[in-house]
Amino acid sequence: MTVTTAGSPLGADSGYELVSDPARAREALSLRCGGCLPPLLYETDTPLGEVPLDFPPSARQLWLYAHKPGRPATWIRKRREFLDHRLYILLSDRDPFSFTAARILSSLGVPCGLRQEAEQPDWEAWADLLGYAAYAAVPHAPVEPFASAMRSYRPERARPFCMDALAIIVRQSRKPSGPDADATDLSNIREREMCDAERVDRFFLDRHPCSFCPAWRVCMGTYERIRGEGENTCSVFFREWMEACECPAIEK
Amino acid sequence: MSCHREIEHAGLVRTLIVKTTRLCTSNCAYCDVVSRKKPGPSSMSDDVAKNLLQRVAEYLRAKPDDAITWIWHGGEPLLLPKAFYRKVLESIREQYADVSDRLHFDMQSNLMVMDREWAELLQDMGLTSIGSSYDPEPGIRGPGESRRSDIYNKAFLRGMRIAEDAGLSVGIIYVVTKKSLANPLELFRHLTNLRPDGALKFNPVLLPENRFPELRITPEEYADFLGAVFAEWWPNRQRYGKIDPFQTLVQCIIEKDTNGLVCVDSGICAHTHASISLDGRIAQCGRSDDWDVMSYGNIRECSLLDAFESPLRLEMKERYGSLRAGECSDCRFWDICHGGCPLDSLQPRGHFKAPSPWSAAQRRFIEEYFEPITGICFQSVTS
Ligand code: SF4
Ligand code: SF4
Repeated sequence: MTVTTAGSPLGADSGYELVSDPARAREALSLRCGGCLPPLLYETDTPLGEVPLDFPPSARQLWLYAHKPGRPATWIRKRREFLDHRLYILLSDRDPFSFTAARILSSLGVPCGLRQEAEQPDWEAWADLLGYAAYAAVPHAPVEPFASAMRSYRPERARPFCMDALAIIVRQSRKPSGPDADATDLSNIREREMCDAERVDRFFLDRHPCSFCPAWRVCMGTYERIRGEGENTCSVFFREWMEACECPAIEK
Repeated sequence: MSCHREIEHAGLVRTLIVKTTRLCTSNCAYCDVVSRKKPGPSSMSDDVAKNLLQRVAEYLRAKPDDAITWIWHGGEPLLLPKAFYRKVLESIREQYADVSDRLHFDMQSNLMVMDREWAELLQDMGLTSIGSSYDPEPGIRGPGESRRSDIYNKAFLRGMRIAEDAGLSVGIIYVVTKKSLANPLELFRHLTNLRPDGALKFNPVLLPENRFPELRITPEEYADFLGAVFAEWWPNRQRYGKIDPFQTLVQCIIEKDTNGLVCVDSGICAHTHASISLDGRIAQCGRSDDWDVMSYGNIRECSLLDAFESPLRLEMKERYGSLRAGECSDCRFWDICHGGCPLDSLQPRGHFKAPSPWSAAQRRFIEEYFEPITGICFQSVTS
């Protein structure tokens, strides 16, 4: 069988197999030697509670990317199955309920993450989820993109924060260092700065608002077109992000 | 109680500001070199450089425990041909290798003409960093009558990138003017965003009489500017890194180490500083050379040793005793101020015996901002 990653949102060489058909997912999971195969990303429009979880037991890593979380009542009782299949659940910020769903999943001990895909992110909702992921004292599973980015954050280093949980878990699955992988280090920032030299020049020469932003070092203008308004802005969110990372009371 | 810091004559690091040219690619509002056009050559000749090297070697051989930090200055030092600097390097290798480990180069450049070849040449000279200046505010730094900051800033950013890619770190001096006072925090963020990992230093604008009165600031305004920035820097200093004068003050006040004090606060500039102008004239420092005061002779006939021991410096050295006995007698900040730059007293009063008006900025900043924000009360370093 050939492993295909064509159509992967992170590009053809992203190192996981993408399927959207449940039968294909089952077939991919029943392969022997699953532990040596790349993770399987099963992407579906079916709400989370309605996704059939009749997968065969497999050593292969399974990531479930449910575009819609649906009502919690339909999936909260599937906790055992989520855990048995060692599922990693990905949600999209296109659905406003994903923020609550991520919190519930995490509190159930199910590792999960959010992908920033909305045309105009709800920065306040992102900040609320960050608050839970970073500060909640109750035991809970890690929520990406926060958990690993928090471990790799260095206050003195400028790196854009990656708001895509999928990109982070892909990187982790490739790195021998596992969960301590530098999740923000998706591309070498120096290289990135170099090819974006014109962009950086534009920000500073035009005195663009991003060049005065207190959170530039963890964003570098990535969200300049979707900055938001009032208190609901990327800048407020990223400031809270830096504060959480630098908070001495949080165990990283 | 000592009036000024004890000078260990053995093991001194002397600072030599070497002005290579008065030409510049920019026409910055606050630049003395541009504003005080002087007669004579516009750049240093190979012969003057050769003489200077001889004098430096002669000094280092006579003082085997001392070192010299040679700061290439201008105008814009990168406007000289590269061959000029290559010859200096060659001479050091061929004739002065015995003292080369005690001769360190530094440079202050606007980076507008920086290219890879320059970066490599500077590294050959042993530079690992280079000092520069930048101002996002239009009309302050830039070429031409209208000081085209768009042209300056574009070339500066390009130069900075080239320097950094070659492995030279770039430190930025930001000169605080009246325009900076509108929103210190925004400005601070802009500057630190541009240089997330480089050193940044604030200096107050010092303008000659009648030049740009609209940019002039008072010591109080400067202190308040620093205070606004310090409130952001102190709790987040890990994030922002080395910002001066904060870092140096922290080192002095908390760690009781005054070695990092800049010339104006150090109280020892009469022992440590000298400048060499394009034609080989030796002055107290770059500022005194620009102002045509405190001239010690020319390297043609005067050795550096003589210049450093010139009786003309005596009055400057005695300044500290009289300040400590007089106007500064009760001041708890003496150890980190020493009455400020002697030239600030000389210019209006004709003598060295008064403290600089800029000392008030230091005092106000510490009392109104540093102490309340950090909760640390300044105590004399020597007590
Ligand atoms: S957080 Fe927003 S305002 Fe700040 S740099 Fe990023 S896009 Fe610009
Ligand atoms: S005279 Fe003033 S500017 Fe010159 S070295 Fe001394 S303190 Fe510095």
